[in-house]
Amino acid sequence: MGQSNQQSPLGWIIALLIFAFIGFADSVYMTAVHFMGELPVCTVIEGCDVVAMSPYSTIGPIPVSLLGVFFYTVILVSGIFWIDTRRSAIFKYLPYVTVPAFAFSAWLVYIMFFEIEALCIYCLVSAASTTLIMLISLRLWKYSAQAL
Amino acid sequence: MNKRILLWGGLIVVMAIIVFAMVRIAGEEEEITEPVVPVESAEAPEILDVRENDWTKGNPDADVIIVKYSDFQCPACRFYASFDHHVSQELGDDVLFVRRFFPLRSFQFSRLAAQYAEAAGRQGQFWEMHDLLYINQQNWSRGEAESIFRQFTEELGLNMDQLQEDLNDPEIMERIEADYSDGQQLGIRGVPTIYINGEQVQLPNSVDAYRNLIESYK
Repeated sequence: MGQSNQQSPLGWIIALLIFAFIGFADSVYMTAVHFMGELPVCTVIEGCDVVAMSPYSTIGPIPVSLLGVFFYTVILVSGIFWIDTRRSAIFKYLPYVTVPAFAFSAWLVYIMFFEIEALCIYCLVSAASTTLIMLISLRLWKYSAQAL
Repeated sequence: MNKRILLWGGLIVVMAIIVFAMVRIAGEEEEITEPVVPVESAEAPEILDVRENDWTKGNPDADVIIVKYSDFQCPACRFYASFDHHVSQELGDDVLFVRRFFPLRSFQFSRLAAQYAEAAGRQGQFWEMHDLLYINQQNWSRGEAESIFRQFTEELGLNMDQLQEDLNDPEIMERIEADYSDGQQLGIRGVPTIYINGEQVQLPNSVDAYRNLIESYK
């Protein structure tokens, strides 16, 4: 039992899945708002949902939130894959997804504060989920390195 | 094997539930954010009468008159402008579309866009400029709006000297502000606000719903 002295990463995986579910729900919501064409009506007093409606909310025809949906789906599938197969090799690859996702998310938060100068709670929730997922993935990456 | 089915099946089910719930919430919230109070325009009905200097499209003798207060930079206004585009192709003879200015102060280029539209209108190209502004809204909203507006006016083949003169004419801004203050008098709280035959209507959420709404006034 080469791994007997090593703690099972199940706890980390569950945390990963929880944050991925939160991020997934959040991104699906924003994507639904985008694709249902259900734009918040712009009001005199509040202005409209400045962030969600800003040109930064899409890359070409693709809403940024849809990228979030794909990202969280990859994380969810990876987490379940590990629970299913217990193959820790998957952890070696996770940072290749989570680190760029974190960088992109950080850039979006920067844009939100400094370019659009507005707050968007859904974006912050997603950014927080991505950050935590990235940290957990690094922890798991370390685990997979030790396991080898 | 069973465990495997449970795991992956569970994941799919949970994801499906999340998608279903979020789509539902997204749909419901929209209903709340829409202006729900159908304001009878009895307090200022004459404001909604079609005027000579209004920008109109469609049949002047139509039974259905749609007066819309809108903003060029507001994304929802862009969205509903596309509804008008669809519906006017099908019901053009039955409807008169009236477009008035309600530039929100929260948008940087709304007033400038309105000025360009009005100036283009003086050379008979209001609706052409109107369409260009909405189609390209995402481009010019990012910045450098004025140089993009210039390109539009060149594309439309406007007389640039005349355009410049009109843009400097304070009457253009007065006209825009007059629409704006009319809108305030009507109690407009958001854009676009649509009146059909003098009655404020809830914004429809699809082209079909919009068409049905219009037909109910025929």
